Amino acid sequence: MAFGCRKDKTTWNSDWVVPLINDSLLIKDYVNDSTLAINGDQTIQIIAERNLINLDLSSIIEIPDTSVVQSFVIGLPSLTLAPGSSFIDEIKQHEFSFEEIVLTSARIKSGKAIIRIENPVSSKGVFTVSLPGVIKDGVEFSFTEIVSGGTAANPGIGNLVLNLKGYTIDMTGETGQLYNLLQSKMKVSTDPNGPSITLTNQDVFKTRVKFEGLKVDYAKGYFGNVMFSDTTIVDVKELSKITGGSINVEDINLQLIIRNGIKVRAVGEVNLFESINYNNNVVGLTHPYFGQQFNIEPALGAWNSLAPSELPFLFDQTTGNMENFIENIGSKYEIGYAIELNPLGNTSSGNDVLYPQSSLGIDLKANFPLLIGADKLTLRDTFEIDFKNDSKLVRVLNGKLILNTTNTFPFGAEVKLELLDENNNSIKQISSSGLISPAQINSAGNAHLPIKEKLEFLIDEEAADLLAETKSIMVTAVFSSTTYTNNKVFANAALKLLLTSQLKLKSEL
Amino acid sequence: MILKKINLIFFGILFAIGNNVNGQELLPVMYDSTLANRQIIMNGSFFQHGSSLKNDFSRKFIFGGEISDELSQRTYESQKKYNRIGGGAKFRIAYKSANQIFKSKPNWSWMIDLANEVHGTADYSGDLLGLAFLGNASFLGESVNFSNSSAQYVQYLSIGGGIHNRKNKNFISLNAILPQNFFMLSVNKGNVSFTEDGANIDLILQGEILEAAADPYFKGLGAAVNFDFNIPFGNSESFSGVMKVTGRNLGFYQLHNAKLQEIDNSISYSGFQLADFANDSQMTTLKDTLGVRESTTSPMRLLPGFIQVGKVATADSKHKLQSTFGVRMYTNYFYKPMIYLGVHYQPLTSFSLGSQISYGGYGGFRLGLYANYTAKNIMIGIGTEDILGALLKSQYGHSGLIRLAWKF
Repeated sequence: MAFGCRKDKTTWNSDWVVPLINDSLLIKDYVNDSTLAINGDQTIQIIAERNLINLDLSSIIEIPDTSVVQSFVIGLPSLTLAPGSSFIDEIKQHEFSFEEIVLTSARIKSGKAIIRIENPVSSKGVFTVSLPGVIKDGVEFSFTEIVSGGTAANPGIGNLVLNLKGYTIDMTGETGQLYNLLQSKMKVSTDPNGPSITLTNQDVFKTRVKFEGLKVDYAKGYFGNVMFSDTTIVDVKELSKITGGSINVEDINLQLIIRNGIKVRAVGEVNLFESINYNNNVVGLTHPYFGQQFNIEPALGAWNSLAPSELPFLFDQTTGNMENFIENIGSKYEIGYAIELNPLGNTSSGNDVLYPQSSLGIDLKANFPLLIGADKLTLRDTFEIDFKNDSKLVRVLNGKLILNTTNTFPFGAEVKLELLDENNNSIKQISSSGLISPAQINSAGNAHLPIKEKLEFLIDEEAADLLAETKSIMVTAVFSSTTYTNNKVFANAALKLLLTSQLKLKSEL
Repeated sequence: MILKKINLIFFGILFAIGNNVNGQELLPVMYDSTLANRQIIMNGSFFQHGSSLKNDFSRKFIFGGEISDELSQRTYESQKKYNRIGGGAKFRIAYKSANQIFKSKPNWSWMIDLANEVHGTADYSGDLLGLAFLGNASFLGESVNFSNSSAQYVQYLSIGGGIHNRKNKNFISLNAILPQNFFMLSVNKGNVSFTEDGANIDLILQGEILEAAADPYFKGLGAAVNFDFNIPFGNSESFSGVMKVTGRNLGFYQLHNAKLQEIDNSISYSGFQLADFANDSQMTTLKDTLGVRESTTSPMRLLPGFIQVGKVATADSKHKLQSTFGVRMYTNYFYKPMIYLGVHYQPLTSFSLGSQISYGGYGGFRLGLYANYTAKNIMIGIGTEDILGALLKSQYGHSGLIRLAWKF
């Protein structure tokens, strides 16, 4: 409207102060969560218990999909039956086909039975199918289905799908001395409300039970001589942001524990454990047990009293090279291992047992003071931004980002920002006017003194203009510690951050 | 085809003028009781008037240019706790026929009436203006209250027809209203506080925004009446004259599928936490943070019409100096009833001029000035309701009026 009279646009500048980040990193947040503890002298102790690797053991016992077919024909040329008469009642035994595994008992964690019943006579049949020795809460697996009549050529069909979760299967057969066996029982009666029927020896009564997708959480028997081996690469994303510098760790004392929660004897070997850092420097973890076979004892106890066996690998000042390994600050780890179950065959006499809580894995237990020095340890991270500074209404003219810090960590940092374009090319560096200094120990030697500092990142008009084409911001922080050795961290360690923007905006109408 | 082209050109001109002239239709029109021929009458006007915004500031929006920090500061300091401003522009063209349409009423004939109008109003706190033009750096450690602030803007075409009396110049026309732009902001509760170090912002906001749907060319449909009724009073021995009752755009329109955004929230913001920047953390949008609820609605709205009742000068008066006075009321609550009082001087039959002082409307006192020239077939009038506003930066508004009439 009024704009038609204009030679120029209406413009004005305004000054805005807006908080961007307000956060505190407190060492106390990590105390009492099985990571850190506070010593009597207020120093921090690393007391970590971590489960590093857990192998899925349900794959040890794999029950193949199995179909059990049971059929019946009378032995006479013909037979007339009154309503409600039972004329079939028999048990059959079927064998699961495992390769090397010998099971006497198993409990189903998941899986189903798909049942099909065929009735060849013209009137309804009452079919009862049960699986002797398949029990849940003391009740045998059994069901009754009334199947409509048919003919020998086109029998009446009944279909059922039953969930087997929680059923325990006794696989020792009718004698109780065998293994890998499953029994089934079929009972057929004539319709109690129907007419009398006449059977011939051409009438075939049939049931088919198909077990599908059975997984177990309990199994007993002999689990076979099984070998697992793998070489795997683990990327630690957070550490991949380190691009330079070094750290110094001291007084390391930690254990890697191989934990066996199944009652099976095994042997294992760690043949490769390497750390690869930002500079592609490789440090292999060494230990007297690495590169040779070690025995893994079976777990003890049963069910609630199950106690996994543990094989500890201690790393301290005299054993292994864990300090060098950690100081490599690797972001990529290559681990090679092999585990063999029952290396000497069925030495348990069929008493290998897998419990629901059984697991095979590697745990970490650490207990040592947090003494970490840093020398120009450089972290670099990139954040995508979509800063629309080409808006016709409002755009940033200039300003600054102000970072107010209060630091009681014995680490300081210099921070740089870099604007990147869509091809990740640097288009502008924004340096800070100050730095975060490492805190100094107080006179009592039980805490670091807080240091308040203010860093200013100047956004000049050139940088503001470049915001329109900036697709990401790269933050580079270079950390150095108060001292490189014996650099203690105390319980009051905290870094409080308040990042605010002070921007002059130009508005245009 | 030719008619279609003419229509397109006409609407094009309407649109162009409507978007380049800012307006109101109150150039004093002398009452003339002579029998009129066919006429084409064009009115163009613009006005802007506020309670607290001085012209040195508002002219930056009319003519462009940079608002200096010093001007922003000075303008903020001159605001009252609550202020109002309004403005509008109009281009209207009417054709009045001379053909008799009623057998028993020889002076009545038909007319058509087309216009493009825009009207905007706002009711705002002084702090809100300060915040917008100075930024929050000037309000650290303070609160900015903008409760009961509101703004509305509508632009529409009107097209219609009616009947007019060639003798006493009464007319009434019924117009279809075709809104093309609409925006309304209403804040019932609004307050934003900033801590001294700028580390925390507390916002309380309860309000709504209603805007026309983006797609259709016409955002809705409505109807309105325009009329003039001239009522002679008194006699030649006593105080006499003609009272004119003017009504423009008295009616409603309905917006189709307008977008309604409602907010009722209070937020305390002190910056993000570092965990918010983690890759798997979803940053919320400003709308989500504010809890904006969006819906569509088809509300009925009152047109920004007005009624003016006042004594007008008469062309056939035996006095060279005549008085004019009256009151004008807009159909919106921002506009306070405006009263005016003026003199009209007609030294020659073909030329007259006048002046009036007014109070009310969107602001306070204004001094108006106008001149009319009448020849055989044409009449030209120009004026302003705010002559001081045209001259002085310290005034609070602008106004311009033009009226052309061609008799044939």
